[in-house]
Amino acid sequence: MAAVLCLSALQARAQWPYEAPFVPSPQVVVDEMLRLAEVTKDDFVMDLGSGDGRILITAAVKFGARGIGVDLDETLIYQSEAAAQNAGVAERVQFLRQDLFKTDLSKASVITLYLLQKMNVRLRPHLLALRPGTRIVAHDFDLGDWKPDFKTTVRKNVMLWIVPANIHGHWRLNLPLPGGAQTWELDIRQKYQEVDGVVRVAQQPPGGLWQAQLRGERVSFTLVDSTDRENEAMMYFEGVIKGNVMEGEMRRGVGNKQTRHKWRAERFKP
Amino acid sequence: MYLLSGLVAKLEPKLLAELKPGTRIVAHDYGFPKWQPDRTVRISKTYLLYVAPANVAGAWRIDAPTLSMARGRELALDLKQHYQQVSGGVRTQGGFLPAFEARLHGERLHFVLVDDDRSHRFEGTVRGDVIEGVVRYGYGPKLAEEPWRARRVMTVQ
Repeated sequence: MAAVLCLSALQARAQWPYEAPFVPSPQVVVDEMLRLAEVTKDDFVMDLGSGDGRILITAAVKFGARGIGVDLDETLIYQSEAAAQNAGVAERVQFLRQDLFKTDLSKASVITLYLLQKMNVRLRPHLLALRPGTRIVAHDFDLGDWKPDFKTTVRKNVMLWIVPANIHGHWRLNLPLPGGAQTWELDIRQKYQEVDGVVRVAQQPPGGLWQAQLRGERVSFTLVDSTDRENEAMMYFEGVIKGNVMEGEMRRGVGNKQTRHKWRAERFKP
Repeated sequence: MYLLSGLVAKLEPKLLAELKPGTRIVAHDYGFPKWQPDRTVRISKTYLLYVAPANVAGAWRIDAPTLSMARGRELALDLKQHYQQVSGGVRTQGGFLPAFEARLHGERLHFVLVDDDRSHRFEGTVRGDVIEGVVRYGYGPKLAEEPWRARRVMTVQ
């Protein structure tokens, strides 16, 4: 039996250089992946390398989600369809025999992966092109230098990535300050969801963009108000990025002196 | 506190011994040498937050009816502690269930046991030699919770 499996794996490898072997994930790990991704009935889950279908069937049975599973192995596709039928979720899930690299992922709100590292990394540009906020969960194998946003270890390492919005570039920030409205410039650099940058204020040395965090299209960062040397008030920004505009609310100062202000920034150069 | 590192290290045993679990200690630039901060913030300078942890180290008896091997009996729970970092697990006749994601935040203890291929998420409050809380299991709309309790039978230095 082992020899037969080996042979068929070898044949598959000869046809397709990125074939990952089918190793079922323990049920508790599947549960943890879907819990970490906060899957609900409103989600559309795409399972890439769906194997015996257990991730998608669990997503439908325990979390009420819908979705599509993709695998190259026809036998596993039949097996998954039968399992979905038995679990009473055949209406909500679909299994397709096709190449995951040629699959349209744009419908997904959640992507589940249990592929080899090499395949994950090859898939990375496709994942980064998805709608900001799309969640990707995997276990054991990560996405190379794209660090997970959250990680949990329950039996195995389970990781969650949230597709980041594009924030890279030069932004003009409109700020209502006590001394009158100001326009500052933000130069923001981005590597995946990791963000850093500087703020430029007229007649001031550049300041830091502190504690920057990007989760999907939600952004937060802290600036120090350098125009008011005496107080150097902290300004905690939170907002949402839509294309070349980001806007939200800023809290200025700390404790019971804290005030709230609306803010808006426009990207003028990518 | 804003002290030089030598003084911070000297102050640590006093703080750990005297502060109530959950007390927050904030420092900037100089932190404790071995105690990892609960949170680090960088705004021009580095700010460190430490939350004084409860003492949980030792041998406990846990009463958690959701665990399949409990069958109405208490099980042995062993916990080791390095400041707020906790490790250990439940000893059973047949083996050992490691505590995953074990964390202590002041007097709030959290850990996950995997039993029968399902996770059981324990959360509880430590008060001296007793921990009480709820354990959650199941997923999505079928999430369920039950109370659990543990009592310490041996402390470890």
